[in-house]
Amino acid sequence: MINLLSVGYSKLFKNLAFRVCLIIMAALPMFLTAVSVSKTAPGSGPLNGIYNTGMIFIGLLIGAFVSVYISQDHSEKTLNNKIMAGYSRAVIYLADFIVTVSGALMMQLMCILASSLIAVPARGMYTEPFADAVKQQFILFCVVAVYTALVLLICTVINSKAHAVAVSLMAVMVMLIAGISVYDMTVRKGEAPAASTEVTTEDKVVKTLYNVLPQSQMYAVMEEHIPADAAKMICYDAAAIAVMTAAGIVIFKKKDIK
Amino acid sequence: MKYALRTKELQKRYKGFTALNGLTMNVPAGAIYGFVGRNGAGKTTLIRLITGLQQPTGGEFELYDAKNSERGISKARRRMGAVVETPAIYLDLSARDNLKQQYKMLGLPDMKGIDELLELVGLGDTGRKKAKNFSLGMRQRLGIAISLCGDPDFLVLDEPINGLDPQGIIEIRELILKLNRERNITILISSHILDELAKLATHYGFIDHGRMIREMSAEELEQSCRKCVRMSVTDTGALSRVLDGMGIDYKILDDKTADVFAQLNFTQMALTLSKEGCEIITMEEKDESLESFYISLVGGEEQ
Repeated sequence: MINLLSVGYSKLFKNLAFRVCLIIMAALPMFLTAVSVSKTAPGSGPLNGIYNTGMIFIGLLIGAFVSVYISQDHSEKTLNNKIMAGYSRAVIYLADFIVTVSGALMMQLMCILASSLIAVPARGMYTEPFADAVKQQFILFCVVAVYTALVLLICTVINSKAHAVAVSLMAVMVMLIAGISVYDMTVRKGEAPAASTEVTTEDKVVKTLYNVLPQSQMYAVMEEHIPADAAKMICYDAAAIAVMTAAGIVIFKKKDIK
Repeated sequence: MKYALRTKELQKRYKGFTALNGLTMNVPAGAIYGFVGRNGAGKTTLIRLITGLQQPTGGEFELYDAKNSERGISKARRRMGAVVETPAIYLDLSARDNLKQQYKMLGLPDMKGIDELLELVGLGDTGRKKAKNFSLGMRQRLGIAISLCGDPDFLVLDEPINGLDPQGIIEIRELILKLNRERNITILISSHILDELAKLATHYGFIDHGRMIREMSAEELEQSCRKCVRMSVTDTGALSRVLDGMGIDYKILDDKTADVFAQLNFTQMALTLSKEGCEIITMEEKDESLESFYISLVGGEEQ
């Protein structure tokens, strides 16, 4: 496993898609932070939580980078070398997951760093408790890991690099739109005058989806900083990662490699 | 005899298609085993099974005495290097970086052997040139170099000369011979370019429709393909006496036909046989190439 991780990391840092995604995760938060800075009056205080703004599109970037990274292993047949070297398929899959999730984490950290490079000198150091910031980042990391597990699963099912990239991006896009929609429904519901205190089945479904969907979790973190259902969200994420990874390993084990 | 690979009634079925249909083969250790068959005969499927890329649906195989169903097969696979169809290389990396990756993957303690390997396959002067800019022959050689990381005892090459120019073919051939002679590596080469295989192989396995038609050594094949004169005579007993007297090698096929392995003076032969009361009915020169031998094998199977 350690040997595979070593190979994976050295390949990751040489991967063009990963490098481009890192650059985007630096440029986009910087731009969004600069816009926020320009909209607030000088001396208006620190921009707490601004470092999360650039995370909105991280799912798409993960979709692009993970699918290119993993599919390259299939298309260049370098995956064959790992199997022929005697590694079990479960170990190969887990090593890929660890490497790609680390790459996604680096993108998340890059987002924080890039935003802070603009926000802190312009409006001063953040004043929110450090522990809260860490909790927020942990929830966002869980979201990032769910996206990574999803894309890895897609790339295991689909062999063709072009198809894997396209399907991954589409899947992430669907998650993104679903997350936005559910978040929007939940927020509107909260803002509407309470006609009745009765909780309908539809409310329950929307609330569950709100807690389950990674993109709505992301919005929740951005809006509420520490969402009320944070623990539930983390549990849902852990379950989703476990289910998708287990499914991926089972499929990969049975797969005929060409 | 020690074997690098033995398969027994190996089967691989895909949806609605049987690629291997009870294949039994034996690759002796130290041999260059030419695995001959037309496209779709099942050559690559067998290689995928022994390399662990796919699982058999029936039968079994042994790699250095480790059965495919045992845990020891992973360890045995470490003694094997393979290039399956196209070389498995990182196109964005140089030849050296590709080998470094393979060394890391195998957990080899240092990178000392990389220069030697690059020299061995003739890629010592490629510098930082990325593999995506390599010619087909260079990629093939890099693939072989990767498969040689970790000093394997058994090398599996699937159609290694496909698409190569004549110079590339010669280079790969010389490399294969060098690896076998100098490093004593057992080599399994699948190919349908028979004339090229004939310059390398010490053993042959002929496969068709997923089944082994015949396994033989190069000597046996040479014997089968030996240039001869096929004679039909009225009395093979008389012919045999005459040929024995002349010290000529021959093989009696039936009571009227024999293959004679020598350049004959037809007039002298006819006169001598006539004195023994034997007449020559027909005489024809026979020179079977590996190709025609294979065709006759496959044709025979189909009948």
